[in-house]
Amino acid sequence: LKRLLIVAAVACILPIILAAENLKLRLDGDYLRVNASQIHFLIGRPLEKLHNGAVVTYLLQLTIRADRAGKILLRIPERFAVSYDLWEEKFSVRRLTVPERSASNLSVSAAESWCIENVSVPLAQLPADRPFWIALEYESESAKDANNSALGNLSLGSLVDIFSRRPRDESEVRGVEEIGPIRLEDLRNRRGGTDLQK
Amino acid sequence: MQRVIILLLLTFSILLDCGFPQEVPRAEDKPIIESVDVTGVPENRITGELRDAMQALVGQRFDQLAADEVGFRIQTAVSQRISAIRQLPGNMPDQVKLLFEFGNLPPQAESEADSNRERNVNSRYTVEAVELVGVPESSISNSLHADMNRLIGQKLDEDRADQIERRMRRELRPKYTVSRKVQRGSDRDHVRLVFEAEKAPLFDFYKFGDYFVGQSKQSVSYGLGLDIDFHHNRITVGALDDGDALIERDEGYWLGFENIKTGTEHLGFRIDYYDYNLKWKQETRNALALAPEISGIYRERRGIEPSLTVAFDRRFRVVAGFNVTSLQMQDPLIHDQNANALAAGATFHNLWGDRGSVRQDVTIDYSVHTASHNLDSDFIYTRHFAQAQYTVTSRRNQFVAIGEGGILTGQAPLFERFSLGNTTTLRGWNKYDLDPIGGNRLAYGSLEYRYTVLQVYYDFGSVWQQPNPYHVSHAIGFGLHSRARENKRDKWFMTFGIPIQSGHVEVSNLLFMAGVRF
Repeated sequence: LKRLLIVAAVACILPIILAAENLKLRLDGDYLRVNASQIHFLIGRPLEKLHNGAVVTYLLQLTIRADRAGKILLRIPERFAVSYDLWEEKFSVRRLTVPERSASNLSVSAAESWCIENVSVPLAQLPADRPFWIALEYESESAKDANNSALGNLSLGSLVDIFSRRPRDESEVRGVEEIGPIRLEDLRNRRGGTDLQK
Repeated sequence: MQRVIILLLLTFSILLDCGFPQEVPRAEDKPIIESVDVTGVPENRITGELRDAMQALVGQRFDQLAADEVGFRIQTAVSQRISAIRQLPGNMPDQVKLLFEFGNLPPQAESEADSNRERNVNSRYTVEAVELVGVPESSISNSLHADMNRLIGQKLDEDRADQIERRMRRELRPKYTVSRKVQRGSDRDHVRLVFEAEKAPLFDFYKFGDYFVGQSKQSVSYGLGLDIDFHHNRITVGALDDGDALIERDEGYWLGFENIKTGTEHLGFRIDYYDYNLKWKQETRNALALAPEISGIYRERRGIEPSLTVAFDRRFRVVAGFNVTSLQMQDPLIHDQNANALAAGATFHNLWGDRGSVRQDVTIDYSVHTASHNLDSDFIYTRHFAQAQYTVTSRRNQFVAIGEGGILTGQAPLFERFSLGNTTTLRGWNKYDLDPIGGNRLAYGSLEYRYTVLQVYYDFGSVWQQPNPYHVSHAIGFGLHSRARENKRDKWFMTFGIPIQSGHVEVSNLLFMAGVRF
């Protein structure tokens, strides 16, 4: 019986451990922002490129869905150009939309956080009456990908652009984290308290 | 003891569910604003009220919303579009200078060039030296050398460095690959630009490739493999169920070992073992019954194929080896026969052009298998097969021309016979309608135009049994394909092929083909 209990206890917590997600949500004025201190994308081959004095562009994208694998309700893509100051040994980040935002003299984790902080969803565009899922996708891009960006409006032309892209380099970094189901009302109720975390 | 473990686990579970406080950026982690400035707007257009709003931020922890609000208030007041909100390093490590940038955005081309420069924080440093390592400087042209030297004394320019790297790659290809690094210079204002040329490996591992392909008149075929690489070696294990490549359907597994540097980088060694069970279409059985001069079907095929490859350079290589094959023949009684052949071949592959310009790619393959009594073979035959492919790519347009030819003399087993009409050749025809037992002669051509992922093609060719006369079959088709390639083939494709019979396009006999390779 004891062994059975141990097995049962392990079986109970394993899914919880595995399901522990890395996203935290918070309301900031009229925006929903994401905190994801456990997500690291300045790693691997792109980090090596940065240390060699190159610029690496990252695409971060927040996607809102009605269900976990359901229809996309909203997509907020943002591109960031990251470079590494060889003398200061600090990172510099630039958000590539107008108005541009930039920050420099950042550590690795600060640069990652800065990028994530600068992708936000206007609350007005979130469904107020039903739960939704939110996903944070991130990927490093070759310069060519960044220049050929065709996100946003999907038209025949943009589809051709997307399909025309050269094959991705396997050494690029990419990943996705998601959280849900979430209700806007729950977030508002928690506004003064702790962040919502799953 | 168990109770303690259970208690600990449950406590841990509850704590986890409640949520450990994660490392979330706290307000205290945000830098303090040391100063707030505006550029691109005449001083007199900033009202006292705006100045107060800007000053109110000084001494505060940086808050994106508050900064945005002030930025957009200035934008409204000066009727000019804000172009950037920058956090610049302050005089203390935890301080930043906040800068609102205004001004007309430059024309797009200029803007891209400027922003490419600005994106790299190292572009504020001056290049003190440009070096080429890995090859003598005499390996590159004088003009390239001169252009490299022109970068010295200038601020680091990512675009110009890119152009130099591309030209260098073009000049040193195919023997070398080129990469670029920026390194610290002799003092804090300078950096060094280093182009590194590395000898390109002469061999790439052969990749059997995982695939899943199907044609509407033939069953689905797949192959799944696992590669284990260590140093210059690769071990491959895989399984397949393939009725696409040959007129037989192979079901079984294979094992492979490959070394791509056997003593010298010019020499590679490979050995494969496979063991397949066979399935045959009724059309093939029926046709064989009417052609007693052709060897019959077999139930099992297993073989071992060692080979040595000599690479003269990246473009040209020759291969020689043995194909030792054992067949369990079905008729008239089950018995074993050997098909042992010397195998040799040569491959030439070259490409011209570079990204952004017209790129041309040529591959020519030739192989010969010859089996004789001296090799303890029950089948005596010689098989020649040649294939040439020419591809020209210009931006999103691509034209592909393929030609194939084959001659088989003597008595060969069925797996050596030629066939056309699958997912890669004479697309639109079913090989069992064309020639269910294959032929001893092959002539095939394909012309294909591609615009990004869209493709249209015209395939034509014939498989026949000499001395019988040949009959050329034609097909046209259209579809979608990936731009990425795996094993020299599309990573995915969805194609409709239409046979042309007696000069008529038989739309009612349209075939659908689809597949993925990964």
